[in-house]
Amino acid sequence: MAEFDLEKLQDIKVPEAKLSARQHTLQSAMSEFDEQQKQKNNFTLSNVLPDWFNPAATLSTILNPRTMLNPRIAGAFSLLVLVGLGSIIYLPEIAKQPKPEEIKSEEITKKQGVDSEENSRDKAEQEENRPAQEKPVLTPQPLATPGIQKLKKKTLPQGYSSGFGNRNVRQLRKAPSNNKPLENRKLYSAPKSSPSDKGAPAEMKIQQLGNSGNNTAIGNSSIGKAAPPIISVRTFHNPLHKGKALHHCLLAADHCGQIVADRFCASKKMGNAHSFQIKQKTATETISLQDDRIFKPTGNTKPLAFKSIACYPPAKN
Amino acid sequence: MQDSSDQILVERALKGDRLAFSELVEKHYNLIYRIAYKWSGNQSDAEDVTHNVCMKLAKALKSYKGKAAFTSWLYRITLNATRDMQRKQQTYKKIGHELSLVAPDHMEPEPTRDSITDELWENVKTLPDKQRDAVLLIYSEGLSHKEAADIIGCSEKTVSWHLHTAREKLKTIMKSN
Repeated sequence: MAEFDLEKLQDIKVPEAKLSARQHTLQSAMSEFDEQQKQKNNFTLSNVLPDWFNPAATLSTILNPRTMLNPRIAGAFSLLVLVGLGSIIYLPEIAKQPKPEEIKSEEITKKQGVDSEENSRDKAEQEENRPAQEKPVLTPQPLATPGIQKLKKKTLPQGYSSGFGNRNVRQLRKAPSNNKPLENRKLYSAPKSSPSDKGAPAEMKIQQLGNSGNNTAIGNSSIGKAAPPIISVRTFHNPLHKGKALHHCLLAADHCGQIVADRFCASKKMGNAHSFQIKQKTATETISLQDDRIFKPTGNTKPLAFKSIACYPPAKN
Repeated sequence: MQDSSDQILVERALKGDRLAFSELVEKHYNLIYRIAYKWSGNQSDAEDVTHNVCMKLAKALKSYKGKAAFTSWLYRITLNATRDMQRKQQTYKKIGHELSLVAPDHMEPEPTRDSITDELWENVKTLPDKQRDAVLLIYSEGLSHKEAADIIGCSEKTVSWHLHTAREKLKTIMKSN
């Protein structure tokens, strides 16, 4: 039997690597490293996303029979499929069911509707008894915000009002026929070209600003009363100055908040700032509106940027 | 054992520090070359494998998570690179002898070795991959079973089993010789 000792393998003599080969290898490795750094600096999705996020690779992994033979992966996959199917089947049905808040609001508005019907009858009678010259000719007011319109469409049954802005108009329109609806309609939906329009109160003329930004109407008014004027403000989300996030102060940490918001609004040819919000998270880079100074987060300074600024419309001269 | 200096160099290199990467490659060049030589058995192949591994390092460094020692990770990469090269060489041999006919003129003479060690080593190289890896890592490189297990990617018991099987096979081979 041949004797052998594996410990002898330690005696394998390794010749020294050639210096030229070593240098060549080091140079090549360094150039490869530089290449990698260049690629890293170039922003591409493949650099940012993890390897498993590649959809093609993920799909091929999933479809690979070897992967599916793994009981854990197969189990997880089947669970995902079941959840997906379940959501496809049940989500539409769940979406159809009314939410508890909507049911409540329906009940409330039904009650309001009954009350207001009675009120409207009384009012109509009062209006009838008034002399003809005193009757104000009112134009139905547009809804304050699209959100409210949406809410009304979604949650309220036909013929009931939401209790917002032009509630009375809706209520009167729904008034039963035995309570002289025609007169009411005449009263509240007078044509725009009516000469009496000129004499209508100023508060009733509502103009929404035609800006490209988000317009939000502030305030509420109801027809039949001298309502406060509706003010439209334009909101700038993530306001930028020269392409950079706006610093919350004019100086590093002085003259902050409202004054900056006012100046920003002025720079947009709007009125003063109505409101503003500041991001809680420290921004990577902000710019001052005062002198275009750039602020970056360091040990002491934490540049904060505006989240949004709402500006009043420009003052009419 | 985790070498903290390696860890630091890797972190610096990952942040784009050229010097750190250069230092890392220079530091481990001899280790890579030695592994490649022991597994391939000739200097030319060892240099080629070392070159490939150093090139790969630039890209593969980000996949090093620091869980195992950097050298263990390097062992694994080098062994894979050696295996890839050997597979390629086998494919070339199958295609034809033209390529191998050119080689002897350019190859330098191998250094003289101890005859017993040489014979044993040649026999070890004929073993299946896992068994050869286990034998060379433990007996030639002097690593522990745990380190070898980390590098091969199996448990310590499996390493022991590979060693046992390798010993049995070597006995048979040496007997027949």
